[in-house]
Amino acid sequence: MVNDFIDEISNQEAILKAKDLSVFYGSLQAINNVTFNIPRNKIISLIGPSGCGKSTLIRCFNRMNDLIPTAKVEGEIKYNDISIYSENSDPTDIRFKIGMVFQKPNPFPKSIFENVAFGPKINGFAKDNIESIVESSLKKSALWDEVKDRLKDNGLTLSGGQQQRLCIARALAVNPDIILMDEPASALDPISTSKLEDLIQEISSNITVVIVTHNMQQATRICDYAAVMMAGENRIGELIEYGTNDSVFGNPKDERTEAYVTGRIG
Amino acid sequence: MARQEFDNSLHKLETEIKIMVSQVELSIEKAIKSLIEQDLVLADEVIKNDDVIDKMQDDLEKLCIDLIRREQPLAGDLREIVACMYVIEELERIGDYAEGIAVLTNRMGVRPLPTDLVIIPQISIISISMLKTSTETFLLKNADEVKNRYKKLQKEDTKLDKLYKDVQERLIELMKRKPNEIERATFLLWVAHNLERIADRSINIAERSMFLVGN
Repeated sequence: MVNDFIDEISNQEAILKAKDLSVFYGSLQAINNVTFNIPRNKIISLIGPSGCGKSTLIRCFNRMNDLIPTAKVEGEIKYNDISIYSENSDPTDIRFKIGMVFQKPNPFPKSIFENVAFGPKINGFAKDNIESIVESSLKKSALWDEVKDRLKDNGLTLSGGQQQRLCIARALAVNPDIILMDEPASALDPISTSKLEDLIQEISSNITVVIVTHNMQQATRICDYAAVMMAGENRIGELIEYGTNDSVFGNPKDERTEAYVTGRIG
Repeated sequence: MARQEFDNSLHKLETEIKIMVSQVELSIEKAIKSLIEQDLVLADEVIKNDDVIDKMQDDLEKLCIDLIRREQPLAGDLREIVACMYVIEELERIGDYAEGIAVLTNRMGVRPLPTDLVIIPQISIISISMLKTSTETFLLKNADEVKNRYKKLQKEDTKLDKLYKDVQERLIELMKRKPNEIERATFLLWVAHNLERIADRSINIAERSMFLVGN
């Protein structure tokens, strides 16, 4: 069932392909044999109960787990047919093309301008273009009108919702193909959440968004596809269902998905 | 298991629908009895009882909307509540058909009927049986059983349509023979039509059962 759907996605030209992916933290296995294709320029929500390995999986996609010394990744992840865990792959280059936004907004303690300009500067973008990149990134993240007159203010002076959009602008500034979001709205009020959701849908016209969320209604509102993870008694997370929004939230195939999305478990 | 309160509310919704079904069935049975026995008091009772059925529809719709607002259901829960809303509306309309038969009975009065009713009671038996089957099927939630019963209902509906056509032909023939009975023969045609519509709406309820189990 999951495999049929993955084949279907493959035919649509997947931008990311995870194959037989298992992750260990020391002797503990976190996820087991996840095979998962992500189509280009779509929004994919990653859902499942706490501790099922969603964050572990999403962090594999831009090698964030490399920062955890005990983490070991088995299997393969291909980004545009480049194996991102091969010896030739540079994690920094990968993180420019596959950006990440976290649960808690984490702007640098620098000006709003510097926050967005940082990536393009260290990535060697032409100095003359930096200002226009900052402006267009802030416009894309729907923050420009709110900050255009205070670009020199410290990013930390912004509200939580604005800080999160600043982090998205920072990710957008280096022209990524994919943005990974790990519960990006969990610390935001409803208006900020709504703005963030609008923004995610806006950027997905030319960027793939993979979003971990515990909010089923949010996932239903924004995603094109949903992947459901679940840990069994062995507490090792597995992909149990992957399908369209309509299928996963309307008429799931797996009883465990039904129980999860209707709030009976998790 | 989490969401105990939600599950209790869904159970309450089903129980209330069962009560509404029994009210609607009773209305049809009484309406047909009032017609056969030309009992105008009973016909009045059916007409008054329609307000009770309408009130049930209002209350149950409110319950469904309240559940959607409070619980934000997804997947099977959402399908169940949406299906219940459809079924509640169908039941209310079936109640209207029973009321319609009672109104026609009143309009026909107590003069001897222009023809024997043999086929109309036969149609009513099938219509009521189809309503019972469809509402039981709706509450069953077993995919295989729902499919089986849906097929049976379709066969019953075909049988009923033939009887309905037969009644139409007989009543039109009567109108040709006895022009002074055209009005009351037309009323009987409407009675048959109402019973035929009850069967159609029972099929609609069965279709909601198919939707509920994911077909």
